[in-house]
Amino acid sequence: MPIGYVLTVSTFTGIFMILTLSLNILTGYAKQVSLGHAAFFGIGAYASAILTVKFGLSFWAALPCVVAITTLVGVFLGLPSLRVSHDFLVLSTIGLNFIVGSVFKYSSFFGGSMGIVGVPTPELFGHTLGTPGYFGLTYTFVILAILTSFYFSKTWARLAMEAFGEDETAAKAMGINVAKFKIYAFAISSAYAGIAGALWAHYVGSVFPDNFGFDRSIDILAMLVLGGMGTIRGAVLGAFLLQVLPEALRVIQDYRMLVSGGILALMILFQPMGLLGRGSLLYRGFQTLRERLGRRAEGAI
Amino acid sequence: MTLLATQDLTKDFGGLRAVDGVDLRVEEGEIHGIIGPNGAGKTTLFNLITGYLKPTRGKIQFHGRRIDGQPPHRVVTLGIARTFQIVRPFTELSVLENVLVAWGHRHYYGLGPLKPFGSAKKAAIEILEFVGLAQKRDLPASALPIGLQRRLEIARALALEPELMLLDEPAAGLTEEEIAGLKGLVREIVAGGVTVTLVEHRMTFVMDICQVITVLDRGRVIAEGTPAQVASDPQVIEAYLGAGSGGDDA
Repeated sequence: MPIGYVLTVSTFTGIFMILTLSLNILTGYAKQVSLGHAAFFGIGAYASAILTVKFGLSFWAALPCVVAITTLVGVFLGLPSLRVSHDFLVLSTIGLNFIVGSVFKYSSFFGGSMGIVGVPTPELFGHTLGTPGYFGLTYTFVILAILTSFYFSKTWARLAMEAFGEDETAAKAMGINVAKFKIYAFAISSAYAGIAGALWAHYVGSVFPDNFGFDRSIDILAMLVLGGMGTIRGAVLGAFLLQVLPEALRVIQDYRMLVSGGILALMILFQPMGLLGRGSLLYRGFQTLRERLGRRAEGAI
Repeated sequence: MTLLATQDLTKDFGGLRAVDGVDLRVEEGEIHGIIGPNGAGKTTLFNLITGYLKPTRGKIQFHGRRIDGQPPHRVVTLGIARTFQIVRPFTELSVLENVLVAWGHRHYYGLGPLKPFGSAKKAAIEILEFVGLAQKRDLPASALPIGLQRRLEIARALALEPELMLLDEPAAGLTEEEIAGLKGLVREIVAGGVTVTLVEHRMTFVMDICQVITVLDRGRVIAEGTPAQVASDPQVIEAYLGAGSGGDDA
């Protein structure tokens, strides 16, 4: 297997790890199920493409702007969640995905269906990043996303989100301003997705509306559900499996939607916590194993 | 000193007047019971005080300041905590995390939410020790039996560091033994400086623990006084017996 191919697959996998970690905050912690997450991804990609191609900014100068833009858009697109919940929220996020896609497709500012091409490859210390360099760049962000997610999981904000995600009435009685924290969840999640979008745009070199469609949203949700909602390990594993498996088994690639959709349905039915989620079969197995090994170690002493 | 006072508090649901001109006064340091047949408006009264419902008419004052119209999360920060008639633990969180969520009321504004909660674990464990749940702190809240879930609700309310605690049927579904334990717990809470107001159906519990009892019937206050006064009030006897022995059609 040529190393360039491995690096390319790994880079895309890394981008999806960031996306899945992004969705984990919104859907894993705050339980706001989004089937339109590709919209946030797309907005990040388009923002970075436009800022660099049309406004001549460098990747590095554009990146903070992309984060600011996607955070604000997250706040704005999160507003419907204050009015609707559960099934209706899922429907409205699907709607958002199509609206955002249509804006990309039919507005000349966003390049219409021709998209935006010639998105520059970032430079670092005067050198244009090659495939290995971009791999390094992507995984720097993956590691940052994992570390910040880990920190976030230890904050009051995560507890507040888990609380209202399960029971809004009880959360209010705990002094939680549910509306405020819902918007926070959308904003933070969208910021992560924006970074993933920028990484995608500058790696592929172009953005097209179809890159960020509803099918992409299903992929991202399937990754999170497969790995285990509400856990960082689950988000990372889910993205890895669903990006790498189709590469390893070429047959699957033609049926990508079928695989993503099928996995989503099967997991929800039989193992809603995912492979490595809280209380999942595998994770409980690991814990038991660790306890046994621990006890044996104690016995040895 | 009066901690909580309502004046002419009224709530209509369509054509139904669930709470009708209630003047309630809760004095600092007392255990104040609110009783009445089913449908008397007790839970609606709690929902009005805690901001879950907006009154159709009337005022609610806490420490002499008006609080009606404030959203529930603001009422909590003002110093009023509540529990629910049907327990509502966060089942996916551990017992300890449940208490931490409540302890977070100190941090849910400004940049506070971005701070880690780890440093509050000690305080949360102390509260769990107080209610007798410290041993179960790492269990998911869903694993607790109903009696302990009620204790967890009280632990969360305590973690909100309230001046006034509203308990909605804290004894419902408990065994006699658990009720005895609950009595002790409520008395300890009051000894710690928290005023308690509770809605309850279990008469022996209310009569035993409360200093003042307000009786509601069809949304109105029909009697108020010490347990002995209330128990001998003809209107109260009428409300309980007259509405059919269960009173559950009211």
